Amino acid sequence: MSGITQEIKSRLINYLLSKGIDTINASDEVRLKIKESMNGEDRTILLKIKDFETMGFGVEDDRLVKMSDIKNPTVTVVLSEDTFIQIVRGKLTFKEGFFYGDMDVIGEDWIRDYLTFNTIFEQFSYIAKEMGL
Amino acid sequence: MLKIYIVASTKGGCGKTTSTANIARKLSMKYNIGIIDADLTSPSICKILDAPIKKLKIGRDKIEPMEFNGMKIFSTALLTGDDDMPIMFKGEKKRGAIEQFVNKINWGKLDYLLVDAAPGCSDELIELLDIFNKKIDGMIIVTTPSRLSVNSVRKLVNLCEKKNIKVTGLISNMDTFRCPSCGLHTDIFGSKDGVTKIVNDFNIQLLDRVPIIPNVENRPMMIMEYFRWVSEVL
Repeated sequence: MSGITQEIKSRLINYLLSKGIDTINASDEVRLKIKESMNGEDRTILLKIKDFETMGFGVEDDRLVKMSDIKNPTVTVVLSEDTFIQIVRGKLTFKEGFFYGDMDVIGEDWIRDYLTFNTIFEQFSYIAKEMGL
Repeated sequence: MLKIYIVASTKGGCGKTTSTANIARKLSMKYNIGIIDADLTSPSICKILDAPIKKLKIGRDKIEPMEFNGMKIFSTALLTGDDDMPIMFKGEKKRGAIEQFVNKINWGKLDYLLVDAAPGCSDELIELLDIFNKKIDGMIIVTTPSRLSVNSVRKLVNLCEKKNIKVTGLISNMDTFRCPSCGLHTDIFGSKDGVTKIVNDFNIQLLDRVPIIPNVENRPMMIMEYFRWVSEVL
C-alpha cells in the first residue's frame, strides 16, 4: 500500500467496511449464517488499526451495525492498516491473520469471538471479490 | 468426582501425546473422558487419535468440544481446521487460551480430564498450574532414556515437588528397540541408568518402559498393552 496517503487509506477502509456491512445486511442467506454463529448473543468487535483509527461493528439481531464508539467490546482486535485491507480484500483470511500473529486479539472470551467474527470476515472477503477489489 | 491428570515432559518428541491417547482410550472404556490439547502451537492429539476435525458448534454459553470415540476433545487444531497452518501465539494469548479451554468449553460431566501439555516449562504449563491449582490429581511424566531428556525431566519433577503436585509416575518411552528381524535388543539412547536414578532419587513410580515400536505414530494403540497400569494407578 506504499504511495497511498493516509487520507486515501482511511477513505478506502471506511468504504470497505460500510460497503461490506451494507452488502451483508442485504443478503438473507448471509444474515442467517451470522445469526447462527452469534447464537442469540450480543457480541461487538472493536478494530484498532495501528497508527490509524479505531472503528468497530456489532451485531444487533442478525444485522451488522457500524459503531464508532463501543464502550465495552466483547473483543478488541489490534492490527495494521495493511493487514486490515488485505483481510477485507480477501488477500489474507481473518483466520490467517489471527494465527500468523498479524493481529492481537484481546478479550476474555476471544476463542468464541474468533469463531464468530471469522464467519463475518469470510463474508467480507467474498464481497470484496465480487467488487473486483 | 472429576480427576485431572497432566501428561507432561520438558522435552518434545518424548511421546506425551501418544501416551495421552493410550491413557484416554483405556479410560474411555469405562469412564467419560475429556482431553485438552494444551500444546497450543503444535497440537497433535487429533492427529494421533486419527480424529477427523469437525466444525465447532458454538453453544449458548459455551463452545461444544469435538467428540470422538466417546471422548471429548479440545485443541487449537479445531480452531484452525487446517493441519498446515502455523500457529503463532504470544505468551498472553497462550495464557488466555488455556483458561478458555478449561472454562469456556462445555465439557459436561466428566470422570477424567487429561491434559496433554506442551513441552517445556513455559506459558502453557504455568497457566495450567495456575488454573487448576490444587485440583490436579497427578502429573504423568514421559521421558526417553536420553541423557538430555532425563536431565530435563529431573527439573520437572523438582518443580512438581516445589508446587506440591503429585507425580503419578514416570513412563520411560522409547526405552529399547527390538529388531523385528533378528530379535536383538538395542538401547538406542545408551544407558538407561538415568531413568532408574530419577525413580530412586525422587521415589516415584516407574509406570512402564515402552519400547520403540515401528509405525506406532500411525497406530498409537499398538502400545496399549504398556498402559495396563492405568486402571490401577489413576
